[in-house]
Amino acid sequence: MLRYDDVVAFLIAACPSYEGSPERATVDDANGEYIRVTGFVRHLIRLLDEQNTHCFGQVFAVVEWILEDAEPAAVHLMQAGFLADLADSSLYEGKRVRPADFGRWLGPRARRNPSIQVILTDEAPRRDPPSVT
Amino acid sequence: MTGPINAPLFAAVDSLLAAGRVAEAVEVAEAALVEGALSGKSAAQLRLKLSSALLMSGYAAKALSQAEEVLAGSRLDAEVYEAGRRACLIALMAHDEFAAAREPAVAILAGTTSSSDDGSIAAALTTLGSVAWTEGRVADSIMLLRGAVTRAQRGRFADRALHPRQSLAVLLIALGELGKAEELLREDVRDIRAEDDRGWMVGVAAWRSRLHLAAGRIAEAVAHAESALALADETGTRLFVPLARTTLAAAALHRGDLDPAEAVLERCQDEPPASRAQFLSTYGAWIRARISDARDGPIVAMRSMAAVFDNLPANKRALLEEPALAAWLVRCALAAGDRTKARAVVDTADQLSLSNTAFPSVAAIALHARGVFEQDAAALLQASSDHAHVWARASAAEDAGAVLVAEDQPQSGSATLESAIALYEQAGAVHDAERATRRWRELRVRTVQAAGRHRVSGWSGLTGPERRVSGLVALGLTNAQVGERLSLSRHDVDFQLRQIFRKLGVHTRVELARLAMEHEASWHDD
Repeated sequence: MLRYDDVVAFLIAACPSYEGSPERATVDDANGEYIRVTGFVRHLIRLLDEQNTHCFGQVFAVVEWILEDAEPAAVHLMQAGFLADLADSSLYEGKRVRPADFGRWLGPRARRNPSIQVILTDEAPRRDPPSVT
Repeated sequence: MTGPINAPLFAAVDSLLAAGRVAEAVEVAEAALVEGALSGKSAAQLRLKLSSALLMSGYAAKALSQAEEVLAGSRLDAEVYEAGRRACLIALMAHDEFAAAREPAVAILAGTTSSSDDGSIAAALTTLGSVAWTEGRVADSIMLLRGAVTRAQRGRFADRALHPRQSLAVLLIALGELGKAEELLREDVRDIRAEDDRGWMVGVAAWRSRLHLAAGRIAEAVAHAESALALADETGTRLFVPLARTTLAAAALHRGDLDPAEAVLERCQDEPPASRAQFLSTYGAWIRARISDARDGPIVAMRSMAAVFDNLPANKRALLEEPALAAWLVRCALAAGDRTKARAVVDTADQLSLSNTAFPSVAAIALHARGVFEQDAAALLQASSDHAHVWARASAAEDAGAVLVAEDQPQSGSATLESAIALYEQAGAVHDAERATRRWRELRVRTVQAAGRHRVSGWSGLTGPERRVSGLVALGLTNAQVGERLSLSRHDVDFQLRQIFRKLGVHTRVELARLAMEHEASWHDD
């Protein structure tokens, strides 16, 4: 079973360009895995903005695998860290892309995350909530 | 043990049972026993039949007395003795007498080696599995009930009043394994048809009703509950009637039909004492409390749940089978201003989670309760993702949305509330969707009004644990040292630090330390 400590290493293996990137340079590993994951997500957002998405298939395959088969702390890191960051519009400031643009790479388990469900609804025209009777 | 078997009497009782005239069958059997028309083995066999009929009629205590009467007889042959022990265990379980059932169940497992006793072993395993479930030991319960299913399949015994598949299906429904639960119920239907024992079909229909409610399919839940009630009338089987009625009440409540929900619950009072009385009592009380909450507010609602608040450990089964119950209790207690009671619920849910770390859906129960207590949006979003039942997922999303908006994250908060509304609508929970919509609108208005005002300091937005972690990090401790000092896992410290960085808008420990110093200085100035 995949462990909490291994998550970031697997993500980087799926997207090696993160090492040596400006996003990596701003991350202090001593701040823990959640902060490291945020740095990684910032990197993915820049890649998407630059339409350099060739590693995304592998990255999101790793995400699905972790959600399915990792220890609970690792799954939480994916859900409340990686996916929550991916859906956080404040990380997209100054970019031409938005969270919903990641939709095509998301697997079924990632799509169950409530933050992700929210960004996916942004793909479709927003409907009005039902009227109160 | 010499009495002749009275074939016409047995045939008459069997015919009445098959025709669904259970009350008459009980009457005939009781009269024969009082008149002393039978003796020895025949009387014991008739008592066992009577015990089974009483059980299906919903009279578990009377069923237990008949089974105990059989075991009190002298010089019983092995077959009758085993059947008596099984009947005792089944009646004790139906009567929620788990403490009393544990010892005889263990004795059966300790003393039985013959393969001919598969039925008794299945009954013992079912009993111990149900005891484990009541105590909140999920893995043990599943293992024991799987063993019971295997043994019951192997054994061919005269009384078929044991359906461990239905007991296992209950657990799987609670854990969100709905496909596997349905498969078990289908297999049980095959056995019931083979044995021509239609009374147990009432149980299957009642459990299917619960299954569909868990999946958010309210129309199907209602259809199966009504089918259970019709079949109960036809066969005279009352054992599962309170369960079917309570599920109907829950469905009506979801749709916002408060008066019909209350009326259905009232009709449960007319039924004989059911099986799973403790769970149904809590479940029924919760539905009443939610009706009160909708009409009169949380203080009145909390009164309806006084017995549950006062005895949380005895309600672990209800917390497991209704995944949103713990969070609802916390929310209700907080709204009524009683943080002590809210904390007690959080602690009970935490204990359940710690005892069942392999089950994310059980962890979701605790995360949801704690998330409401600490107003922790990340915990609530996680709970919404991991909850086993659709309605519970919607409820956690609604709570998360409210917290996010309160934390000055109106965009994601409002969107999360919208996802809660969509989940409620998907589940046909009109009443809940309307409430969430009202909340969404109120929060939107409040957020717009607050937008022009001065933003509250990020420091005041930290939870208690986040303040403790940030204080130690600001002093220069590493994450590992903070974890040691506060008895937190590395994961928990990492996660708290992420939340702290986001709430304070900082990116480094140095910035955090500087902010902590400024905060301390301003606190002294004040």
